[in-house]
Amino acid sequence: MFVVGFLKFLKREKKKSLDELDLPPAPPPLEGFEENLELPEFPDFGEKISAPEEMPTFEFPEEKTPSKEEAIPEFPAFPEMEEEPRTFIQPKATAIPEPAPMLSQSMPLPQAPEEEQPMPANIYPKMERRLFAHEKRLLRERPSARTIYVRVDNFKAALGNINIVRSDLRKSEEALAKLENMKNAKDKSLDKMKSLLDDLQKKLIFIDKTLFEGEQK
Amino acid sequence: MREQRSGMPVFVKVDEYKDILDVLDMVKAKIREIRDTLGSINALRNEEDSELAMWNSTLNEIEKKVEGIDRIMFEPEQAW
Repeated sequence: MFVVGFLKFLKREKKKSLDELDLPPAPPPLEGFEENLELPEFPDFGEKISAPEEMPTFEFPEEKTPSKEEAIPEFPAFPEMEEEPRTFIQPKATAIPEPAPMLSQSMPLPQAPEEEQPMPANIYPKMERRLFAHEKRLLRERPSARTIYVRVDNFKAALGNINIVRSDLRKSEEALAKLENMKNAKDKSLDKMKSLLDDLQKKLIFIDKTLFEGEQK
Repeated sequence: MREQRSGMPVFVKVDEYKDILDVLDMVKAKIREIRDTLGSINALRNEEDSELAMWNSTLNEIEKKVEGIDRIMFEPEQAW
């Protein structure tokens, strides 16, 4: 403690506020930068500086475009090769055993056709007839390409059938609505059943636990 | 529509015949689809019936067991 008290003079005195701090000394004035100093006049050299009338031309060797003859040098001609007679290597004749005759000798071998017979114009007439039968029938049914006529009795029958189909559809919709109601009721009863089963399980667990504790005692 | 005279066939002009045929094809396809759906619903109902039958038998068994427990609990002297 004594030493610390002795070294107290080395400590800086704390100033209370910024106003109490000492201001640093002002910098010395610079020479030649006095205020309101007038600049000297620009000296007159006699002649005016301007751009030259004609620009000098510079020749750059890399900018030169060579002519076609200069650009493509002539290649030397190919030397003539001496022709050697070609030798073909003949395959060695090996003795291949003849296959055993599978067919009777009396059976004549198929002969190659002497001349190519021309293809008939219609190879599959039956298939074509079958394939386009529907189209032909439609064409037959349709007297002209634009106007179609249906017999009145057929038309009435079609209208009657359409009405029957409409009523059947209405019945189906009603049946579907009924089924939906039934499904909702079934879902409700299933939920109720589930809650009942859960309750039953809890009760059975309680009974089991009580009986087990009684047995232990 | 004109009335049909004696024995003479009367025809009705049908515009957009091709469209009607196309719509009929679509209706047929829809009917086929409905039939398939009905088949799957039937299969589901059969499964449901079997599940319900199994559930019923399980419930019967549970009932019997509970009755047995009840009997044991209410007639302790006889049981022990």
